[in-house]
Amino acid sequence: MSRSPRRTMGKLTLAKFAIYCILLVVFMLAFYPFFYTLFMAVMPYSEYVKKPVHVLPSGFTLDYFEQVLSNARLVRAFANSALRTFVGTISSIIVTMLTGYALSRKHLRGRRVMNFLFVVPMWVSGGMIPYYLTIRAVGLLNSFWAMIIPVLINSFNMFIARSYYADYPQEVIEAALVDGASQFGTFWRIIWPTSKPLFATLALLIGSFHWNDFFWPSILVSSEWQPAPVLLNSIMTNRTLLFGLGQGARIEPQSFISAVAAIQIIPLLIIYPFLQRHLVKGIMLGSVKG
Amino acid sequence: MWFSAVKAIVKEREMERVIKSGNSVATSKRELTQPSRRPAAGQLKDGSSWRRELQKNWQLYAMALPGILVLLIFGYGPMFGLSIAFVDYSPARGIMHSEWVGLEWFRRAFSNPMFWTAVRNTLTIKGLQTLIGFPSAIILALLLNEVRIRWFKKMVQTATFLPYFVSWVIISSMFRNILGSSGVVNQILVNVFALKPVNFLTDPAIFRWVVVLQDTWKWCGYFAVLYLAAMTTIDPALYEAAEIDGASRWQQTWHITIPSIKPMMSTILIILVGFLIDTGSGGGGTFEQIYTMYNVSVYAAADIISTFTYRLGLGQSRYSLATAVGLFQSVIAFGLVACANRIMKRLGQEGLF
Repeated sequence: MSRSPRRTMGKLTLAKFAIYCILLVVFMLAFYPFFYTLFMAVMPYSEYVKKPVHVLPSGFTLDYFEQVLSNARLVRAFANSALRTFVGTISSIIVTMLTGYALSRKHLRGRRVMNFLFVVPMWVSGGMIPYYLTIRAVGLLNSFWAMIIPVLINSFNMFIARSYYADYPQEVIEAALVDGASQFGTFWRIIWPTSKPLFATLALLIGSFHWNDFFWPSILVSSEWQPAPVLLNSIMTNRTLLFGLGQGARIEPQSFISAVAAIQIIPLLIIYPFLQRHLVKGIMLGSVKG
Repeated sequence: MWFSAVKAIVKEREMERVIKSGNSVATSKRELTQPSRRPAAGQLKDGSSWRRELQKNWQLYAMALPGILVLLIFGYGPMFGLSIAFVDYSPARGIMHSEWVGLEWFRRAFSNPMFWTAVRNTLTIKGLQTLIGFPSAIILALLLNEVRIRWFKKMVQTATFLPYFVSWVIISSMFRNILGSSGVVNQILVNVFALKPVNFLTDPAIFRWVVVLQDTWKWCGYFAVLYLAAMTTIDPALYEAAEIDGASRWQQTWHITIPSIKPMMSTILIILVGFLIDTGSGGGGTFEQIYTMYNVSVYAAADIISTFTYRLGLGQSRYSLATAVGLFQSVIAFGLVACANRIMKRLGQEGLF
């Protein structure tokens, strides 16, 4: 994995200089929208009207965060997001790991059929309306669990888990079974404690899905359980709703919306650098082997 | 410098040997235990062996059960729901008791001009996104591969990968602020260059390009990471040999780097071709992008098949018609992937299936 040692830091050629310049521009284009949103959330509106152009921040205030966090409806939405991310991620990881482990056992009969069952939905789906009608038919409509149960497992994550356990040193498992441990016992005492890299990859993939998921919750879940992205979209497209949240106080749309968005971005920004490695690994596993 | 390269190669070969021999030990061990584990190989076909298998491995089946159940209900359930595209579905009567109408809904969809606008928009937007996004990711990866300052490479890679990690709603809120009538881009256009403000979000022709470039912005870093990972598997000895032969860096890139990422390029291209008709309804994809960005004034240029399906189905509760449109979309997408796969295989590249 180490860099190829083919090139020394030799002299700075024009081509090399151009490459660094292009990448610097790419970096700024990629990061600027995040930067802009974050500083809009802490820049006083009085500063905003003072100057005609705002490329960089000036002034500092936490008023908008205060305004957002003193609103019961928004706080409830953030709490819903946190709750569904926690419950959804833990339950989904457990189901995915168990299924992936079982389907990685080479001697299990029916394994091929079950694997095939997971391959098909990667390519064929029922589409929007049949999915909606299925959720309604099983009675999950307007329930908190509509955000948890249908997404407990997906083929992509299952294949990541399966390939992790297929690469696992099989002798260890065999030895435990020969010593008389049950399958559950083996999983609990031997597999589970050594699945940390898989856990990290799945936690990041599934956790970010739950934190970000927006469209289906906006359709399937009653308003009291709606997570933050749904409310963010509503205040973005519906000015009456946005000004209604002010409860009489004046709202600056750009700053207020930026603050709501910032609260959703900041947790991602905090965990992302630590887990980027695992995320990349997971994507590679899923794309190359899945 | 050259000896470090040789050392790296030797180390790699050694690792390979160790891994291989380790595997052979493992397989031989398994071979030793296998006969005793499967004494009933001949009986596997009759039913009683199934019962024995269940008795022996019921715990494994129990582990897989929750996942399989969720898959069957929420993955396969909707596929059976597709039958409502062929009946006059009403929720009160249910699928079984609704009247069979054959292809009536498809005929109605095809005779709707709005449907054809949506098809055209989908192909235009997805086509442009692929045309710009696919090469950009390759170029980004190639440029990053030339960078030897580790922190700089890491910094650019981290920043370009970040948008993949953020949902379309948040991205949309950011871009609405930046591109809005009083956003920073218009501030610069008006106050620095003394130009007229541009209606990025309400002018149909411009909005289309916003959607295309925004998509490249979100996915470029993600695909670049895939290419970079493919590049790390290149044997450094190849570059060494090329350098000794006097190949320039450009020639090295063209003759070593690009050929070695070709399998990844073909895989990604097949997947992108499958998305040309955008089937991602709800789970990310262009649907969420357009759904969170568009407004009535840009429907003519930005209404794609999945947003059209959404408005028909969940907006107006015309379930059968919307399902028919969705089914048409899935069939075309599957056909596109199959075609692309065949073409890639004929060109000597790896296919998906």
